Amino acid sequence: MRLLNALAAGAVLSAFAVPADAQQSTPQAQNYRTSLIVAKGGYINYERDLGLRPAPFVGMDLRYRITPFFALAPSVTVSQPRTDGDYFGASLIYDDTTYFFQVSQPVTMLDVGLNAVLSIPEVGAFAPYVSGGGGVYAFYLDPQVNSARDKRFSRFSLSAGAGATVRLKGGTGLQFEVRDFIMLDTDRERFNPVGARFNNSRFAEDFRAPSVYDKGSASHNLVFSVGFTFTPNSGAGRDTEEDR
Amino acid sequence: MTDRALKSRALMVAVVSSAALFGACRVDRATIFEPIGRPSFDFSFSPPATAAERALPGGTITVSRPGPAGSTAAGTVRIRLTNLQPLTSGVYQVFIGTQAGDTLRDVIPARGTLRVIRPVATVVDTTKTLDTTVTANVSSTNAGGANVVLEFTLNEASLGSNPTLPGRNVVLVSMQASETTTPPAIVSPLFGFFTTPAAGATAVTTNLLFGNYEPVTSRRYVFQAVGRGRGGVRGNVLAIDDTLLARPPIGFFYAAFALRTDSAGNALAPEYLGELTAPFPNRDRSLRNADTDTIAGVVFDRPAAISAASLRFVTTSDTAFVLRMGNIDIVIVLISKFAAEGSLPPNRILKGTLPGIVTSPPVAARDSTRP
Repeated sequence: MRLLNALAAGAVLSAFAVPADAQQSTPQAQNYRTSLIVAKGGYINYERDLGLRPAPFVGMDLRYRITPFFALAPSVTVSQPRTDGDYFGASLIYDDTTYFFQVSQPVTMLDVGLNAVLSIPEVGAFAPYVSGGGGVYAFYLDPQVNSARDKRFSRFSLSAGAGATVRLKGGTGLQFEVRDFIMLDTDRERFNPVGARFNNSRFAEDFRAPSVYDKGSASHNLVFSVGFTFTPNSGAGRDTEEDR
Repeated sequence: MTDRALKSRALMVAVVSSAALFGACRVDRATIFEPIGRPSFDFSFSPPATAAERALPGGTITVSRPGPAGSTAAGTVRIRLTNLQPLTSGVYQVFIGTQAGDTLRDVIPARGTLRVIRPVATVVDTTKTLDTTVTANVSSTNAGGANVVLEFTLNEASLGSNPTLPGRNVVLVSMQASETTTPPAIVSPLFGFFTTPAAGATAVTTNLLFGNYEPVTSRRYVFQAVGRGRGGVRGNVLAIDDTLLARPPIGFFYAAFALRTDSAGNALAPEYLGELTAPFPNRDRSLRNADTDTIAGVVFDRPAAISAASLRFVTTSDTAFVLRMGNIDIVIVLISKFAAEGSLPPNRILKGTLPGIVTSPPVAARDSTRP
């Protein structure tokens, strides 16, 4: 677990480090070796069996071109979904009466990864691409209802998607993307803060979770995003004296 | 960069920062008290306080020898069986034999005269007016019932040998499909040991034990009516969780009944709720064969116990347990596998009483339109 957290931290740092070519090389020398910064936001539709409600997210990619059609892109994504109370129940006994409750909590999801981006030849200002990669995701649970031991966990993730960038003027653009964010080795019960003695086992059939779940399976989460792209140094040599 | 461009970028930064700040300051906390559905009204189970209420299968062996002192005349063995459930697909058969050390030998059917003593009407005192049926020269019967006594009397004429022969000291009562000349392979649920008094001395009475007979003493099992539990009624669902029950003797299983009594205390027709099962999420695993089969984590061989059992009974209506004037007890009983399915035995292992809000609810609580 500590290794995963260290990897996550390293990936975050590397995602925001200024790439060497952005500091040293000039667009004239290696025109394709430019970095594309993508600030993005959107919506993650978590797999229903995971017990998480759909939620918005924000994130950032740094697309570092290796060849004109291939790039590596460290990325970071943050989302704060809420667990779905339909999946997590509790019972409290008051004297000879038992009451039943739904329990939900906000959780923070952080995913850091490295994606390979394969660009398809542009059509006008329209630049489609496909991407795939892997990384580490971490969930931070509500510390007010989880014990210190259970308030955080992390696992590996995969990602596969496709999108397109629409070039605007001045090295900027818009990016639209759909991808399958695959969380490996998921465990829905980790989102359940209810202690064993408050579990409802006597009338469990009456409060069944809407779906069954296989612990340790991979969950597929659909991510829709819109991003604002910016290419550093793209305007070098073209700015007017006044702009400098 | 022009002033206009700078202002435009500054405005963009301000908008994005404000949005981020707003998002970061949003208060979102866990929700732990969001009620769902109606509550359940609970009650506890415990073993009945007295042996008479528990009414476990049992009985006595009484051995007598006529005088005068020093006589070698044959004695009489009287075996009284109580609290047996009537059987429909089998019989109780009595055997007599010799237990020597850890060996059982010379076992023969205890052929004798059978008196079936039934109480008349509401008379439950068996010393008073009784309806007695006498059958000669038998060693088995399928009779039984609450307050019914089965009495086998063995003598030299009926048995074909002296029932008090030196060394004879054990009585076994098996439960089997039909009468046989030798004890069946299954373990006898009732057994007892007797001693023969001297001729002319006072008759000696010993108790029969309920459990699993084995010739080897260390493998013998005597059943104890223990356990505890909790139940609840939620709308049209009755759910029971029992723990730490003793494992049933071979040939028996646990089941539950609802026993209704009216305001005058008269018993109404019992309702069979079903046999106990493993607890959630394994309620599809019946404990009907807990007498012979273990289930990991639920039914144990040593100690001979059931760690947890449950029952879920769903009625067709929310008012199934509404009695208005009266009382409903939920009882856990031991049923013979040779008895009619769903027939109520005399014994009571655990007992709980439905709370008044279930049996006599206020109108609002009975409103089935509530979620």
